[in-house]
Amino acid sequence: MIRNLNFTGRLRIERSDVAIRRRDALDEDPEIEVQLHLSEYGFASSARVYLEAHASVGTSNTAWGRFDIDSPFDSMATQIITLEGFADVPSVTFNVRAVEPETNRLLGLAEGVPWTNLVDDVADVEGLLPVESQDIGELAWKLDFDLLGNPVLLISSRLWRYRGELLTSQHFRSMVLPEVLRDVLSAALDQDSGFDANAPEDHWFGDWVAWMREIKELRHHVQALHAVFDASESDAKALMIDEVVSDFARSSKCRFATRLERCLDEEYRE
Amino acid sequence: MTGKVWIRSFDARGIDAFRSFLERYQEGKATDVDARRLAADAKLSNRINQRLEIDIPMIASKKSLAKLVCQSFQDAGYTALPLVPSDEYRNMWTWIACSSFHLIKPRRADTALNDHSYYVCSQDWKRFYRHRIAGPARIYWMFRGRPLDASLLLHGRAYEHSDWEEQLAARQGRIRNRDLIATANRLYWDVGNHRPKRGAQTRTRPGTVRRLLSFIDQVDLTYDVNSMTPDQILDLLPPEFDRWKDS
Repeated sequence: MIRNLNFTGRLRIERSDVAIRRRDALDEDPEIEVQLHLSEYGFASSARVYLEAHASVGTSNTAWGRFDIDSPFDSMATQIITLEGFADVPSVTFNVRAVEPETNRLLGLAEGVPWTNLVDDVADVEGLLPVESQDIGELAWKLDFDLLGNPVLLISSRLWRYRGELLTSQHFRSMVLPEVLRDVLSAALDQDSGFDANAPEDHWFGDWVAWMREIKELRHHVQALHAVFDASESDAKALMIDEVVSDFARSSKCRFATRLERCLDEEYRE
Repeated sequence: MTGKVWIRSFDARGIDAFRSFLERYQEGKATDVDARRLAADAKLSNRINQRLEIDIPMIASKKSLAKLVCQSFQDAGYTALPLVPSDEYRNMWTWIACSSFHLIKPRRADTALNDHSYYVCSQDWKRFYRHRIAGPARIYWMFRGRPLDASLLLHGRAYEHSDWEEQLAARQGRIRNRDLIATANRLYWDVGNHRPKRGAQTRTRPGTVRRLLSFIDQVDLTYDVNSMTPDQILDLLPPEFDRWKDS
């Protein structure tokens, strides 16, 4: 008789604590950047953490790989992994397993984590914030809205050839993305925006609300959005926007000041 | 042996021609000589690599054919078996199946031929492992440092798709875990008689391979089975498996 194991004791690792970004083009073995935020789960420091990569269900590829993560509890550490044999795989998903090495017990598990494009990581949702080239004078970037009211990030046409470098640089991300989010929220919370908090799917901001729900640090603001819509005082809205932007900046995926400081230290420290 | 030939990859017309051959073979209107002619027709296929060649024998077991195919790739300098299903490589496995059709043709033409994925390498990952050349070659390549661990999967005739393959090779998580396969081998392989132990696949008996796999699926929620050695997996098994450990 097989024993029944009704309680596994393992923790669910939130997807938002696993950041996997694709670096290379599809025609080569892709490289990924892996960043984990596991310090709050209480795993023993001796725990081993493995990343398993596999072709997404439904694709015709049988590629599979398992990788040991070197410093799993250093949330600032980024590990670069080459996914050999995944060159033609259009879509890869990942599992993260935290394992107690003596007993091999599973301490934590995240399943089916998708990768994101480094460039699309601006908002993690493809198409959420299209990036376009435009002659905007001496401005390097500008948030604009298209004819349907959807936000578009404009990059100076003079800088367009460097857009990949810009969008992935810590400097640009740290300084631009919080302000992009601030402008998006300001536009959405404007009384003339047409956004209805009870039917968010009918408005472009609905996708942003869905994106906020995906981010642990922003999730709790979604309910507050409903309340602030009814508030007539502009102060309440401004305060709300400030809180969301601050929480975005401190979210595990961003930590803008910390990461920028590290970048600058590396660049300028003698 | 038929002599060394370049390993080739069918083009789209070659694939169509092979499918058509399979249908004619099933109807009794073609023979394996027609398959060899098809594979030799340079208008229907392209050479893959100047160094990639194979000498297909007239008689071969599943294991010896898998070993021969892997050896060809190793000799040509491949560090990994090209299983990635780009059209070129997928059609290459189909071409090898066509060239070796005399070895992998079903003994009862009315059954296995209904499913072309045994011969035409499938795009569908759920059928890929069934291919009579690519499936065993993948297993042999994975276990080439410890081939005895894969005895259950590679024993038998080249044309047979065994239930061991169906149970153990169908899912990525299982076949990639060499220690799990080695555990199954230690439980169910009869070392003395060079064959699987009798009754190891019987659905109604306790501790058989299906029970092993359902137990592993269950403990996979609690343990990281991929981190475990065969000894550790064996220690975890409940008493119903004892008779297989001891026999």
